[in-house]
Amino acid sequence: MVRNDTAPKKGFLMPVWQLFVSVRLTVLVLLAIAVAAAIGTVIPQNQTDLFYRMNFSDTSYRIFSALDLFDLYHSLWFQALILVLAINIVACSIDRLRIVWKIVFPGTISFSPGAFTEKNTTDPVTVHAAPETLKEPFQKELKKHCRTTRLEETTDGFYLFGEKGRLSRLGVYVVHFSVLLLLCGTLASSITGFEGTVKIPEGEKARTINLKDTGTEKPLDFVIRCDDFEVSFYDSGSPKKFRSTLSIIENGEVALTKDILVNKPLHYKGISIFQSTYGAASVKSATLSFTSKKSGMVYRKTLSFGQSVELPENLGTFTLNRLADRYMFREQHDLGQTLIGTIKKGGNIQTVALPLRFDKFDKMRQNAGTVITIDNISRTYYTGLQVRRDPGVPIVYASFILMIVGIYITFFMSHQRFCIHARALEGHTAVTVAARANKNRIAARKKAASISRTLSQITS
Amino acid sequence: MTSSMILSITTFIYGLAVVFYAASLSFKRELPAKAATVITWGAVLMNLGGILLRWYESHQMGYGHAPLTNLYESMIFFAFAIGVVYLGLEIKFRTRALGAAAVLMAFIALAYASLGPNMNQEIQPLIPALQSNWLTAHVITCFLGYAAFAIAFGISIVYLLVDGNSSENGNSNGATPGLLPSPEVLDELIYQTVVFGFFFLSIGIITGAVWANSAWGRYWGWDPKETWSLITWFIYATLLHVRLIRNWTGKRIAWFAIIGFAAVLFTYFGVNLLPGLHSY
Ligand code: HEM
Repeated sequence: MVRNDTAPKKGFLMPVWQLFVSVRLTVLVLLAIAVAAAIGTVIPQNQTDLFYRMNFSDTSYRIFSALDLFDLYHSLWFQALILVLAINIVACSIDRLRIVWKIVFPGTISFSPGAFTEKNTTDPVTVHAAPETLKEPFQKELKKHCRTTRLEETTDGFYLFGEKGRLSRLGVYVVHFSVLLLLCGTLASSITGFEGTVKIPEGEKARTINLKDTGTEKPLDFVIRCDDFEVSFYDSGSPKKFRSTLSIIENGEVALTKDILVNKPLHYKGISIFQSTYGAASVKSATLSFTSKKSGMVYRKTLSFGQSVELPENLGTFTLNRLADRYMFREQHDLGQTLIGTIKKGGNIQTVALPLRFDKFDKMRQNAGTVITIDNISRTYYTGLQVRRDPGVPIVYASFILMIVGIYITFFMSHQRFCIHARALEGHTAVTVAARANKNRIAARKKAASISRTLSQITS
Repeated sequence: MTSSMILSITTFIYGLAVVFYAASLSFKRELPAKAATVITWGAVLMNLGGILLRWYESHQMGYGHAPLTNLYESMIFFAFAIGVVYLGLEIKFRTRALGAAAVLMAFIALAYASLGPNMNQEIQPLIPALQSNWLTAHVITCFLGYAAFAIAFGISIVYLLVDGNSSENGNSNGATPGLLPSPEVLDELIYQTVVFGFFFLSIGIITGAVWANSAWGRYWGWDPKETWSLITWFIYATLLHVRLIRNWTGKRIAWFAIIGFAAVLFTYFGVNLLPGLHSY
C-alpha cells in the first residue's frame, strides 16, 4: 500500500500530526492498553483499602496505589491511553480518507490497461468470432459481475473495463467510526448514568436506591412496589428461576405493572430495573413438631408470630414470639437466625430458642416436657433489584451494529476491477482477462479466470 | 448410548483422520488425505450428534438447555467448531494438506474434554443468569472465532516449519516438500483464517455485552474474562493492522497468530484462576 504523506498542517503542528497518523502509535497504544488491561485482571480491582493493605507489602501497596492500579480501568492514565487511541483513529482516518475519497468518488471514472499487471492476467483464449461481434455479449457477461462497465476501442479490437465494490473501500472507516461511537457511548454512560441497588420485601415499596459508586442514597422520580416474589429451585437446591412482580407508582397512581426475571428487565422512562438477587426478608410462619417425652407422641402445628397453641397431654401453652437475627449459644457461638418462643405451664415460663440452621437444637433443653423441632419455614422474600439509568446504551448498541457491518465490508468485500482485452488474431479473437483488487487478490484472480472461461464459450 | 460415549468415540475418529492426513503428507499421496476428509466429515457429524443427544438428555432431566454452559460442553462445541471451520477451509481453498494440523486441534479439544482432569461431564441445571438466547449466540460465535484462531495457530506452526526448511535449501518461494502449499499460500491462509476468526470474535464479544446488559444491567464490567477477550481482540486487531498497513507477512504474522492463540487459551482456561462471573 502506498503511503501518501500529505499532511495538511504546517509548522509546529506538523510533528504532532505526524505522530498521530502513524500506525506505529496505533500498535503501541493497542498493545499498551492490552498490557494494562491484563494487569487489571491480576490485581483485584475496587476492593477495600483494608484488603489491599492486608494482601500487599507496604512498598507495593504504595507504588500500586500511586499508579492507581487498584482502580485501573477508571484511572486517568488508562483513560488517556484510550483518548490517544481515539485521536489516532480520527487523525489516520482523515489522512487516509482524503486519498480514498478520490478513488471512491472520482469525478470521471477512468480506466487504464497499464494498471493491470501480467501476473494477474489470464492466459489468452481464442474465441472464434471477430472482435466487433463480441462487444455486446462480452459487455452483457461482464455486467453480471460489475455494476460499472466501459468499452474502449483499439485499432485491432477493444478493451472492456468493469469494476465493483468501490464503496467497500469505506468499510474500514465505518469500523473506525464505530469504535469512536462506542467510546462516545461509554462516555455518555459514565457521565449521565447512574447505577444503584435496592432491596424491597414482598408487598412493600421503595423510593430511593443506594448508588453503587458512592454508597449514598438517591431518590427516584417514582416508587417501586414489589407486589409478589417467587423463586423455584432445582432438585440440587440451586435456584431455577426467580421472578418479581413490580409496580411503578407515579403521582400516587400505578403507571405500570410487570413481571421481571433475570435477563428480562423492566424499562420505565429511561430507567431500567433488573432482577439481580433475592433473599429471605423474614419468616412468615413455622411448622413445628412437638414431641412429648412421656408418651413419644408427635404433634405438628403451624404458627405465625404471636400465635399460641395449647399442647396436649397437659404440656403447657407454646407461643411463637419473634425471629431473632442472632442467637448467642453459651455466649460464644452465633447460631444465626433463631425463632424465639415460650412455653407456659402453670406459673412457670420457659424460653425456647430454635435456630433455623439447627433444627434439633431443642433436644438439649433441660427440664422439658417436649422437644420442639422445626419442620418447615415459610418465608417472605425480598427482591434485590438493580436500578440503572444508562443513556449510553442505544449509542453503544448502534456502534455494535456498525462495527459488525463495517468489519464484514472490510474483510469480505473488495473493490475489484477487471479488464477484458479482445484483439483480432487471424480472423478470430484472442481474449485475456486481467484483475485488480484492493485486497484478496486470489479471489479476484479466480473470478477473472472464471470470466475468461465463460467468454471462451461465447460464439458471437 | 449416552452422549459422553458417542463423544469419546468421536475423539478417536478425529485421531484417525489426523493419522490419515499425516500419512498423506509423509507418503506424498493424495489418497489417504481423501479418506481423511471423509473420516473428518464422519467425526464432525458424530460430534454434532453427540451435542444434539446431550441437548435431548438435558430435556429428559428437566433442564432443557443447549449444551453450551460448562467447560466440558464448551470443549465439545469447540472441537465441533474446529471441524466445521476446517472443512469449510478445505472446500474453499481446495487443499487437504493442512488437515493434520487443524484436525489435530479438534482431536486435542475433544480428548481433553473426555479425559481431562477436573472435567465435570454431568449435565447441570442453569442458574437464571445463564438462561438467555444471547448467551447461546455469544458462545457459538466466540467458539467459531476461537476455532478459526486454533486453525490459524496450526497453520502458523506448519508455516514456521516449512519456511525454516525451504530457506535452508536456499529457496524460499519455490517447491515445498510434498503436498504442502507454498509459504505464500500458507501465509494467505493464516491471514484469511485470522480474519474469519476476528469477525466472529467481534460478534462474540458484542453478543456477550448485550447479554451482560440484560442479565446484570451493564454491557461491560471489566470482569477478567471480558477483559481477556478484549485483550485477545486487540492482539488480533494489531495483527491485522500491521498486515494491512505495514505489509507484514510470513514469519512475523505466524508468530503473531501464535501469540494471539496463547491469549485465546488464557481467556479460555487461565482466567478461571482469576475471580469472575463466567462459569467457564
Ligand atoms: C480499537 C480499534 C482500532 C484502532 C485504534 C485502529 C486504528 C487504526 C489506525 C490509526 C489506522 C490508520 C493507520 C494509517 O493510516 O497509517 C488504521 C487503519 C486500518 N484499520 Fe484500524 N483501528 C482499529 C480497529 C480496526 C478494526 C476492528 C479493523 C477491522 C476491520 C480495522 C481495520 C483497519 C484497516 C483495514 C486499516 C487500513 C486502512 C487503509 O488502508 O486506509 N481497524 N486503524
